[in-house]
Amino acid sequence: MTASRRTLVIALLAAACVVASVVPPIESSSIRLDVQTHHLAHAVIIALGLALGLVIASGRPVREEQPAWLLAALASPLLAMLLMIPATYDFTETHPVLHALDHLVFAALSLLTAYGGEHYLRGVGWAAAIALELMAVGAAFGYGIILTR
Amino acid sequence: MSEPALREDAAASRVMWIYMLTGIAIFALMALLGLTMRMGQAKWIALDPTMFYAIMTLHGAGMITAMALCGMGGLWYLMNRERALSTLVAYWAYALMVAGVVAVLLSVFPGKFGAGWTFLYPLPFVGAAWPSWATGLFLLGIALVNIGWIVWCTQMFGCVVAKYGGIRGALAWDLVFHPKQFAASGRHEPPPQAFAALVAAVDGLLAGAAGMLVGIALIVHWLSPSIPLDPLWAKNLTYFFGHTFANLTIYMAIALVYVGLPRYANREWHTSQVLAVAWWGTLLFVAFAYFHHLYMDFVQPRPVQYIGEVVSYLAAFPPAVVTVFGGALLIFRSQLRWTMGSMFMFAGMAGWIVGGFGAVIDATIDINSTLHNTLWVPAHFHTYLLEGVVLFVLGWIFHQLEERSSAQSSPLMRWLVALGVFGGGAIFLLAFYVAGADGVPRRYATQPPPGPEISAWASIGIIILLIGFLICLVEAVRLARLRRAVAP
Repeated sequence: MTASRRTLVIALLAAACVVASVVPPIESSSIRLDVQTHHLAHAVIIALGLALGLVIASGRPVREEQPAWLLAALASPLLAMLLMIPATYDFTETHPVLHALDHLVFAALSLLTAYGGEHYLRGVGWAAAIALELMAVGAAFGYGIILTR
Repeated sequence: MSEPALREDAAASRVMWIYMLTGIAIFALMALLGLTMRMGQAKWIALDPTMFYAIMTLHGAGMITAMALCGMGGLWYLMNRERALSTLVAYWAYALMVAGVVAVLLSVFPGKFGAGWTFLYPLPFVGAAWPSWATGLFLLGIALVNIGWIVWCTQMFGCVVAKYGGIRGALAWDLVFHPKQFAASGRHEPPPQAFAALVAAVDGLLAGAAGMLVGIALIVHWLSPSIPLDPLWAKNLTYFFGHTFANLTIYMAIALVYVGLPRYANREWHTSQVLAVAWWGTLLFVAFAYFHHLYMDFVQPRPVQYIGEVVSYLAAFPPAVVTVFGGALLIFRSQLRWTMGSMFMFAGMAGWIVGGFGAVIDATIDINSTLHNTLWVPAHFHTYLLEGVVLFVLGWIFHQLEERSSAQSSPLMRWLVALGVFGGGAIFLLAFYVAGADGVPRRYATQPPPGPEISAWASIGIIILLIGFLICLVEAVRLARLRRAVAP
């Protein structure tokens, strides 16, 4: 990827992150989502944040272990999953600005997961990104809800 | 070796020994707890049921973690020789896992948490005979062990990807599909132990993510009980994490045999196309085999049950057909040097096959409807852990001690150890199989007949086994001291 194309992709992904994080809570503050849909909406924001982190990190591949970045790559997904507590959804949905901020934190943590992984060692960001996205999507099928079968 | 290289090797060796010796120490403690349980079931001692279930929980969680620590340390050491790894990261993983073990220990003594190491939702929270803090501490402990595991898997993943040119290189894709171009390129195929590292890392990260998700959900539920969790969802994630983690202990330990056994046979265990493809199979099968734990769950989608059975059968092929058969060919007419190390490695492969066969039998849906939740289940996993993973680890430890001391154990010593470890082990394991086939349930503090009689035989087996391990320990200390005496 050329430098200018990379910059364009970064700008587009960053814009998508902000739009996906901020617009829905503010524009549809009167709509109450069920827990599953809410989890899945977070998974979309997380996917955008991860993609952004991977693209930013792609400019400078790291070939020697940078242990400090591993901490960021592992602590961020943990925090992201802890933020997905279903009990907070009712509250955040009635506070649009807080809800949007909550989403931005998701995006930031996802970015840090992928970026931190790639800065720890090339290739690790992808593994961390896949793991976080699987957790985010997986949460929608039983965390805070009992699915009827 | 140059001075810095020697220093690096000593540092790597230290990491390996710290992991392995911690694992062995935890194993010894858990073995004593196992003996306590069997003696309680045999009615040799009075064991309060609440205490029995607490010990059973600790025994399960502790044993798997002990085996994992041994495999992690060994494989880390081997991969460090392929590509220098940060010891700092290895110590982080170690510290997290040990902190998790301490938390689990405290949740049981004095907490008496007794929901089983599988901590299946909603069992830890419903009708608990232990305080709430014990539940939280146990879940936190398991989470810490899992985070340590994830740290280690991440480092291994980074290592194999960086060393062999991405996932494609680590899988030896070109060796399999473009062998001529691969040979012409001058590249080297990953050694067999690198496949073990790749599979442990990839499946380990997936399982770790599942464990983390269900772990966080359970901790949140513990803090806020009004948050519901789907029990089937929780069970799938718990077994994906638990079964895969337990299963990977043997795939990590086999790497030690890939490197150790050839030195006794004076031959090379090289990477072939068949070996690479076999490990691709293992990569896939290990991830899906856990479905066989959910045969009794009628709400589980039916196709998944069939996948569970098929994958459980397929999972047996790579180790049996490629690794164990390959190992047999490696030593066939090689004039193998029989020492404590080679004896353990060889016997471990036999134990792996026997335990694996027991697993495949139980993974057959028709048979599972009878054997499910009987002592047949612990029979098979005790076989491949005790007479598989433990022997691989002991084999490697003795291999290291023998190499550094340039000494060997006497034939008499080998016979004594073999009688204790294999003889006692056989009695202990046979008691599980016989009781399981007779329908004696597992996870029962008080067993229906003929459980108590068989438990008495099992206890005798464990005592003989422990005597064997004790002799082993004495011999290991002798060799280690010899090393110190020989070393400048």
